[in-house]
Amino acid sequence: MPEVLDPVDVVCVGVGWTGGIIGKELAEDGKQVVGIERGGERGPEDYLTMHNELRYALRYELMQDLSKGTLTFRNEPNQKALPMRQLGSFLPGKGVGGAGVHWNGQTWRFLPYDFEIRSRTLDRYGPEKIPEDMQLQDWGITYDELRPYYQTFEEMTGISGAAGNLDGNIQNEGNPFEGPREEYPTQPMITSPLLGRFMEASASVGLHPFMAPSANLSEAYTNPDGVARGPCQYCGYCERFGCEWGAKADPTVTVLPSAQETGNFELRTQCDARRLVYDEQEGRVTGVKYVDTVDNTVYIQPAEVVALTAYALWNVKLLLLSDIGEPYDPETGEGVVGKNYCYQNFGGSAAGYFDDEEWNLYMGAGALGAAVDDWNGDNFDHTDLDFIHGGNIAISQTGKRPIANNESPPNVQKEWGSEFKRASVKYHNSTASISAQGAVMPHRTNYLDLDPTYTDEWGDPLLRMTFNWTEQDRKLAEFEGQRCAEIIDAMGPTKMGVGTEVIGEGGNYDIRPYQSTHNTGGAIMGSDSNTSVVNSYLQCWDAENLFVPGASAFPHNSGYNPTGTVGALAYRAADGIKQYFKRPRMLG
Amino acid sequence: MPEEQPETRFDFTRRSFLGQSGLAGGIVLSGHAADVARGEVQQETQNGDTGVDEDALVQLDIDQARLVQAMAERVYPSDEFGPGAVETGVVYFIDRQLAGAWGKGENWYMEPPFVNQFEDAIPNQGWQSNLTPAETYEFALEWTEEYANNEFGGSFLDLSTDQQEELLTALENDEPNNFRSVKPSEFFTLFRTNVLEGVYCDPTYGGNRNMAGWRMKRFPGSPGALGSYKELIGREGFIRIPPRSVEDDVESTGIETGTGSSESSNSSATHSHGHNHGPRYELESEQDDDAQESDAHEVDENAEGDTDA
Repeated sequence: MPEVLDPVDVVCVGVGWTGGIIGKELAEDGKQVVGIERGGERGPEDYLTMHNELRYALRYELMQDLSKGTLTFRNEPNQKALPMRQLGSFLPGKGVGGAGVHWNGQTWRFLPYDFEIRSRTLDRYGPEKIPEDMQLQDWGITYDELRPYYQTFEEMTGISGAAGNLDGNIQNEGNPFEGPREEYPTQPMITSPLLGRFMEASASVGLHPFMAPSANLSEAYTNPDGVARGPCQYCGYCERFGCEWGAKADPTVTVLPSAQETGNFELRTQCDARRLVYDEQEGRVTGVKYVDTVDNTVYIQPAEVVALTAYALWNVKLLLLSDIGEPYDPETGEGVVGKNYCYQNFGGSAAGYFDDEEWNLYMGAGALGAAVDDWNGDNFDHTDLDFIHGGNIAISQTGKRPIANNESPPNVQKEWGSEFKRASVKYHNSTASISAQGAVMPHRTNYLDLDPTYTDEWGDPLLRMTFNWTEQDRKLAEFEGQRCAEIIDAMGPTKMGVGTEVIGEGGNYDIRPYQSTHNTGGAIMGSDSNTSVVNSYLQCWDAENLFVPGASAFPHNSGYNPTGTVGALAYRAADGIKQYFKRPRMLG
Repeated sequence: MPEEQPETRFDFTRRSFLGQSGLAGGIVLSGHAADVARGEVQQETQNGDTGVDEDALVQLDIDQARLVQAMAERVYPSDEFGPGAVETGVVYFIDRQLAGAWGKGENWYMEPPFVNQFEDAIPNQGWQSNLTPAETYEFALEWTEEYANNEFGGSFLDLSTDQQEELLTALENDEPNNFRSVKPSEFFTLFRTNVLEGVYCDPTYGGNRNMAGWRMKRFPGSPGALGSYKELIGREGFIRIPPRSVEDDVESTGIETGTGSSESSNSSATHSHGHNHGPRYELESEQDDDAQESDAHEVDENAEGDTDA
């Protein structure tokens, strides 16, 4: 029998960005908060000798150990799903801070268009613009409503950037297409020569380049919680690494110290949550059942409020295992849990190979980049195009790791041998690569449920992912690839390669090559309990004291990295939980 | 931007933990294997020959190792452009990887049921074999030799360079039909990846001997523990910095955080390399904003050999 512990006010299931934010906010509000985290503790002191590509980037030091559990995958519902036996396409984190430790720090706000995407598409283009199987939904919240939460997240993390739309006034240095905002807490990152070249070329073809917003601090910064961090050193070890300087915002150097200082936040590591204890009659969760993997004891932690703050995919798995909400059925379109799983489409890309240039590409930072937003969202007219949305086109200088990066121009046929070796060495510091971060729209047969065959270390079913690219994705990749080519061409390369097809063998989504850790949807937000899992406060329609923030709440995925929006929604959820404690009810 | 600077309550700006030591892990190479890995023991043969030091092997037997080395040399050849898989010690890198956690598939999901991936899986679903990387090498090397004998009438080692390339191309294109459990192309992809890892990894893993792989790509390795390029990132012109390994960082900080998620830990490095613990780089001239700096800065305090093409 599980050991039942003394009740607390709030349990956070998973301690990454969302668990850390909610933990801090509620602990500061005087609530007793417990954070259940299946990994271990870690921090900047662990990364002093981390400049090691093999260990961190390729043997996945900071990522999930699949031997304890993974997911299964298939492209189409009529195929047999098989387990993802090794990491590839995406990299969930392990340990305190989650994937928020090994992220790049690219921190965007979604467009006002994103939150009202269905309404605005209907208004501008009419109903025929939305294919029958594209389950496009508004988010149940507007950009203006989410804006203050974005601001709070950006001030906590100290985001570096230049505003492009300062309360409605368009600024030259920033992104003119963004929603109205405030100044960034810190100035933009340093423009490296490669980024400068991209910006000049983009401007020369009529686009509007700007320095990308970054959670790698451009300057020393003390946040409103009193957390002081130093500036980024551009060491080139950021993506897939932890930051030994604490310059990259991650939960272990921002919200978690603040939470723990209150004395109200208890972090329980090596504790694996297995179920939310659900009382369907009452429409409430009463606590969390978890295994302490050190003493091998099963505990139940009762709580007034549960925040499901695991990685997006595992949020959905825990909801399904706990029988909370109606599982989505792709045949009927009924049900909600597992619906609208989306991803990121990097099919549109271009690379220039320069015989007479050599850049210091070994230097860099995860969010050192420049971007254009002209071909993102509904920033351009889609009337004569057979897709909606678009993607942020960016060049990044993240630190070019020599094992993983061996580009050669298109005229080099083989990926090995003498010719390949010569080309990949010759162009190692002389390649400019850009890509569009393509948005992905929901589709009827792209969803998450439980696998009937494979199990995790506890014998529970694995999550099953059914996902493939659609015509929308293919058309978008083709369009964005051409736009990327125009920019690279303007940079004046000796040779050029262009990508206009979605990534994957046979034009189908492929679980093997790394694409992005931007898994979204499955527990989506909305204003209608028949078509969403949570309301605009991330409060579960079927359990009013359960809040489910994270990228699992995205009804579609936009053309940006998700963390800025994940952070904003976590603050929104924290706000909702505070209101709920004052008067328990469905909010809204 | 906040109006007033808040009071600092948590300071992540200074590295007070620099004096600490004894964190996780350590470097495992020692004795003869370490000397071989560091290039301190010369191999009997150089320049593309397939001599392998049997005493330095951990997992592979000498026949397997010779085959791995010969195949690796075709994937990443030694040529007038620079050293190849032999000089960079790829075979020793692969050998140790197979012997460690990665070779055992420790972080892979290896639960049944396994399907016959020739019929019941699509490539996009990824690795479906029940074989770990070490087992895959064990079998696939044998199948490769079998194929060499059947198609070319001899061991891979005895084929001409052109025939060896032809055989690897056949693997890449799934032509051999004597492979079971893994497809020839899957083994080839795994092998190619391992070869590139061996050429360009931190030398502590036995590959990238003398940091020759990094020198070819003009890659500086580690910027140093708490290293910085902040003053350089905005500069025009290529800045060449001599390569530095994680072992140097370990020595300079006195901290071991380990280099081997795929290695066990039993000893720290005992070799003194006489490294300069001073600044990571030294520019010939201080930055001049309007200087034309199209030529590479060369910072060559201890570079060995000229890697410029």
